[in-house]
Formats: sequence, structure tokens, C-alpha cells
Amino acid sequence: MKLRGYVEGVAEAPLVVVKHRISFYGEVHEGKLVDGRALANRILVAEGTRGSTVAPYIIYGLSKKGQAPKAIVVSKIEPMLVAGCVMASIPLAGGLPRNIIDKLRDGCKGKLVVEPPSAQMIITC
Amino acid sequence: MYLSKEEESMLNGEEGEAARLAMKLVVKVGEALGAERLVKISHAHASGISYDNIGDAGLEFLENLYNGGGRVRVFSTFNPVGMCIGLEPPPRLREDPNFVKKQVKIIKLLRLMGFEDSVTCTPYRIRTPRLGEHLAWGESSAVAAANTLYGARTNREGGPLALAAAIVGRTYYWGLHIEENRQPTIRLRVPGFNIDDEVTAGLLGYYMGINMSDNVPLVDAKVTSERYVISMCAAAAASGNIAMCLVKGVSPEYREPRDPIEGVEVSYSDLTSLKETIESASLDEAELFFTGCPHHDVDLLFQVAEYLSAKNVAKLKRELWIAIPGYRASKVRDLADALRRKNVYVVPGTCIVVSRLRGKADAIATDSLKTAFYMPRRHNIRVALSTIWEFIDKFSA
Repeated sequence: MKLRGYVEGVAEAPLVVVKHRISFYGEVHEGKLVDGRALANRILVAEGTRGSTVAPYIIYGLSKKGQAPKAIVVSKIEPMLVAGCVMASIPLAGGLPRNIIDKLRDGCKGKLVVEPPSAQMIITC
Repeated sequence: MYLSKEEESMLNGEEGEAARLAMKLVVKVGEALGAERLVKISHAHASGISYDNIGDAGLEFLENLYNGGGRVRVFSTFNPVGMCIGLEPPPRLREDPNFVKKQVKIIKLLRLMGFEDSVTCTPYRIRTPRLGEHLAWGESSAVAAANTLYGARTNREGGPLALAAAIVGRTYYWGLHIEENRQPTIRLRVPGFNIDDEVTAGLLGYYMGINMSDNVPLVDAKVTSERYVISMCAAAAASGNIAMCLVKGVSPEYREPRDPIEGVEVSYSDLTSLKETIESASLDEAELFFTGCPHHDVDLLFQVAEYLSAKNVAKLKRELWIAIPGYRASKVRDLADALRRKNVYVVPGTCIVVSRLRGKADAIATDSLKTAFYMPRRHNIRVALSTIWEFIDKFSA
């Protein structure tokens, strides 16, 4: 499917799916979601972001420790998510229809190519 | 993106390595979002100041900017830190020397770069934003207050971007900087009751954050003080990503929408039900009460002192913590000493969200819904909700 591309890059990995907005501050600890799922070597798919504007530092810190997701794909974009992905060089795409997120699950495989302003993603479940 | 000659020279490194790095970040984020140009700002406010939040990676980022000659080009302030500033902390907030060393280093770097010695999440109390002026603010609660209360224009900038914007004096012209994006998109009616305490205000904000993110809500409610608007905004920016709302009788840009918009009605029982889903402790279980997220001005300290005197309270049975801006600490030293004897701790320049309370309490009470959102998630601490006056009444006998 075609998406909106924000931060360039290519990633191929299993998905971690979060069906709501996520606050990197408070809802991600040591590279893991509050439910224990790890982000490293995964493409994080989420509805969007919320909460603290500290998020870019958290994303940057995750990448320095090798705990960051390989790429991030959301429905709704926020500037602070873009800033975090720019600092950490994490490919970022937006515009994923909300109803598609509902159909996805962890373990589905994603292949993402982001060449701003466009992006393409192939998902196999 | 169109850049002026001055902006291009910064991007090319002609004004130093820090300006180059900062401009690169601002331009890259702006270009990613589709901004066509930059806009000059009059005030930058940086979030991401607590060492507990940003760690060594964030500290290195700050050091690189300072060592590269980074100095602010506009009036710039910064957020609370991870420990008390200027007054003796409550025992549970005493920090180890390594943490203090790293935190002090962060503060020193910001001062050397030209930041005001603010140490607060309420920068609008230091410099009042003007209607229509452009800002680059981090700190989600302050962003929502700037747009909602003052009609100033800022997006929810990430901490590092606000820092970069301070150094280049500009941010990307996008989102809430543009008039047409400041139109109301959903109506929230609150009939039959006033928003006249911190907890109710916070619950309304929390509801907005969960149900109305990505919108500019038109809030048709009677919010009886500016403080309650601030508390509502803070909660909406924590449980969701609300950066602006238009509150009837309060927001300078309040207007009826050009086209019909969807409307939602919230009853008092909706907020009571929401409160039950958020609370994870009872007031009896709370080991202490925290207020000041966002920071209170010092007025509250006088109100609390008077209230305790009027009730003849020698010492509260449980600790009450009140967070205020760091720059106010020296002005309230005597009052803070007197309050401490009554088990009331004035906590300047920090708050329990950005401090290291985890493991030092099992349950707390608060009137801040922003605090209630973060404490279980970040510190694994359970939360009860009450007003400060309910807490004092309960634990003063």
C-alpha cells in the first residue's frame, strides 16, 4: 500500500502492533512496551503518539542502545515523532488507515520503503 | 523549503557547528511535514531536562550543541528537572551524588547557552505570550496553555526541536502556526455543572485526550478559573495529543465554526465513571499528596498556610507536596520552612513525574490528572484522586 513518507529509509521486519496512541514517555521502558513486547528488530505500527514532548529524546536514546524499532508506521503523524525519527534515523511513514491497523497482529511481516514524501509498505500475515 | 540568506548561512555552517546542527534538525522536520518555510519565534521553551528522562544520550546531545557554539537567539526557558532546586527536598526525593552531578551539568549547559533560569513547566508565567505570536515550545501542557489561553501559536515541539529552535530563533511554519489549522473541529458541550476544581478540570481534559486527539475542540463549558483551564489542557495533552482547544469565555480566538461540526456532550456522571477507571488506590492508601503538575504559583502556599492556621492544624498526618517553579524557590524560603514543620513540603523546580519516586512509594494522591496518567506507567505507583482541600481535611484531624 502507498503511505506518506516522512523520514527516509528501508526496513523489513515482523510487526509490533499497538492499536492506540502511544506515549514513548511512560509507555516504553528499556525498549519494551508496558506489556513486555520488545521494539528492537521490529516495525512498530501504532495509531499515533500522545503525551510528553520528551519523546524524541526517548527515541534517540533507544536507538543509541540498540533498542529502537527498525521503522515506525502510524495513522496520524505528530511533529515530535518526526523529530525523534530524524534524530535517530528511523524510517517513518504515516497515513496507514485505522481500519487496517485493527486487522494487523504481531508477527505479520512488513517491508517498508520510505522516500519522502511517499512510502510503500507490503504486509503479509 | 524556502530559506532566507541568513537561514541558509546557518545551514551551511557559517554561523558555527551548533547552528548548523540545529538548523538541520528544524529544516529536516519541517521538510518531512511539508512546511514551505520557517517562521521567526519570540520564545522557545525546551522540555526534556530531567536527567532521569533523557539519560546520557540526551546529555551528549546538549553537550554537542554547547561545544559547537550553541547560544540562544531568542528568549528561552526550560522545563523542570529531576530533583528539587533551591530548597531541602522531602526525604523521598533526596538524590544520589551521581544523579545530582549529571542533572547539574544539564542545567549548567542550558544556562551557558543563554537560557533563563526558569526550571518550570509554566513558561507563560515568566513571559506572557501575545495573541498571534509564534513560539516553539516543548512541554505538552504549556503548548496547550499557550494556544488555548493566550492565542499564541506553537505546535507540540519535541524537546530537542525546541532547543534547536532556540538556537536558530525559528521553527518550521506548519500546523498550529497557520490560521486555518486553528479552526475548531469538534464541539464539546458540558451542560449542567461548572468546572470549578482541579480534579473535575483534569477529568474533562483526560476525556478530551482520549476521545478527541488530533482535533481542536470547541469547549462549551463554564470553567471558573484560568488555573482549571491549565489543568484541563495538561490532562488532554497527556492522555492524548491535544495541542489546543477553544474554551468559551476564555480563549481569545474562541469563535463559532465556519461549517457545522460534530458535537459531543459530557455529563458529570461520565466524568465520575472516567475517574473510577483512572484511580488505582484509595485516599486512605495514599502515602502523600502531590499537587503542582503543572507548577503552581506561590499563591497556593499562602492559601495552604492560611487554611492550616484557620483549622488549627499543627502537623498533617501525611505529607503534602506542592511543586512550584525553580526560579521562585529563594522567594519562599521562610514560608517553606514554616510549612515543612506542618508536614507540607514545597518542591521547587521539579515534579514527581520527572523525578525518581519509583520504589519509594506504593500509592499517592493527587489533584493532577497528568500526574495520574504518568505515575502508574512510569513509576509503577498507584494513584488516588482528590482535591488538596479534601486531603487536608481528611489528614488534619
